[in-house]
Amino acid sequence: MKYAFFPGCSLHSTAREYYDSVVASMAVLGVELEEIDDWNCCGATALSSADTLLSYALPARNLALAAERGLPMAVACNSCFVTLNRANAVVGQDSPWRAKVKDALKAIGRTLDKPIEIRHTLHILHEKVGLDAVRRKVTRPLEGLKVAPYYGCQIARPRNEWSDPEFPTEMDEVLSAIGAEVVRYDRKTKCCGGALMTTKEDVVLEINEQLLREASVRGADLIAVCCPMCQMNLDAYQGKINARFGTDYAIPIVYYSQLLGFAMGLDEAKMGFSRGFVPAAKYLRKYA
Amino acid sequence: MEQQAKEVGVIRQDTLDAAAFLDELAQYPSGDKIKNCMQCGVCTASCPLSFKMSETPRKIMEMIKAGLRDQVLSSDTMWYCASCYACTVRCPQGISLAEVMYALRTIAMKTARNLSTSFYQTFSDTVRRYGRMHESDLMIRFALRTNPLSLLRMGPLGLRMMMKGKLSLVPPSAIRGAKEIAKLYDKVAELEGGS
Repeated sequence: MKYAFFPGCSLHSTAREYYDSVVASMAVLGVELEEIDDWNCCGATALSSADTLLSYALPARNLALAAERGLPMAVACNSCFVTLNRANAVVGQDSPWRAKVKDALKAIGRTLDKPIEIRHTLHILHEKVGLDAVRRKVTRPLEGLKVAPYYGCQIARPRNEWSDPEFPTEMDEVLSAIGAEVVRYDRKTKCCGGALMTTKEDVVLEINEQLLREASVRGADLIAVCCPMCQMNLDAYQGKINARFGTDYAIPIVYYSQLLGFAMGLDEAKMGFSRGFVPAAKYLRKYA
Repeated sequence: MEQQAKEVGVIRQDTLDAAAFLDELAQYPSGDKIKNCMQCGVCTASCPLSFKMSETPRKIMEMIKAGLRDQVLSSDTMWYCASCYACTVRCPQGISLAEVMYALRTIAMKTARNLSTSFYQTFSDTVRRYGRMHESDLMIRFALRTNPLSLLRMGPLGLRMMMKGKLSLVPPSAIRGAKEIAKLYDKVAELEGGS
């Protein structure tokens, strides 16, 4: 199985451990993520807020690059996933936007005739690879490790054919397949605030405190995520949240792919756990 | 009576040119569906940030329908939208409120100046410059544009991110297709009528 991989900007910087772990663990499972050559920023919610046509045209260049390569696209970041899907949908609709997006692409020598197949890496894992194949590769079952599955918003919403918009279960199932104990987590698709951490920090700290609080109440050792925004808000700002609300959370925020790679016997160091602000080592030691 | 109307938050229709604002918004994705809003309030109930907004999403929708353009665009509602789409998947009338919020931001970006507009503009400029995001470049330029002193406040987190290998101060090299990206920006501006 081979995909044109769109890592997105975060996976090259703030979420490097996601990049390393998802590429390595998917390779073990027979999925090749071939990075799209010279991809560009999808524009995220910032461009959707600034310029409608540009917010379609920027991601559309990446869709065109994947189409040129003749491969379906794999995306690991929720924010890129929703932005690329939003542009992809427009290309499939008979609307004035479609004609303009095509004109814009034409001006830079690119074409995109029809929507392409786009999948989140978590969906590839769950639907294409399958849980049985995952189970067969596990050499270090994470028995007794209590994990809260946190999906964030944009993997499940607005709508796609793989995730329930309110209560998805695919990450729960993958985590169970690697032996972890998945704790109940009702806030699994409640928003972390995303990029609003930059412009509306006070209230975003508040909603992240609620996310940490439920994980703590449910007895989770750590929270598994599938989006760089969620990871950053919950992890890098956890100290600030503790200072603001007088709490003492010390909940590591890790990507599902880090746990997956680790459970399949990949080198712990290569899975990048040490890049997290809240250390996860003490929970992993007994399985290593 | 007037006093009472004010207290319960009834929207007074000051302008009779309600259709003009609806027509303007209809040019944007999902904007043509706003007229179908039946004020059920599911959006407000589903929104994780509505408790912070000067006007809730439900109220904003009615204000749009009443043609209160200036009040809508000067509210802080759209700047609190995190694009989580909780409202959108639940709206019984099939309105994508997340798209409506994008549309309001896009219109407001043309005239309003606040922390949010500066952030989105700086983000867009960064993408045009490099073809990709460069977080430290973005944050430094954003701070210089808004409040240079905030660099001091952001400093410690930035340093820790660098130590974790998550940020770099090294100026990024632009993607090979950076000229394509700049051209895309120009072409889009041309298609939008030189705006």
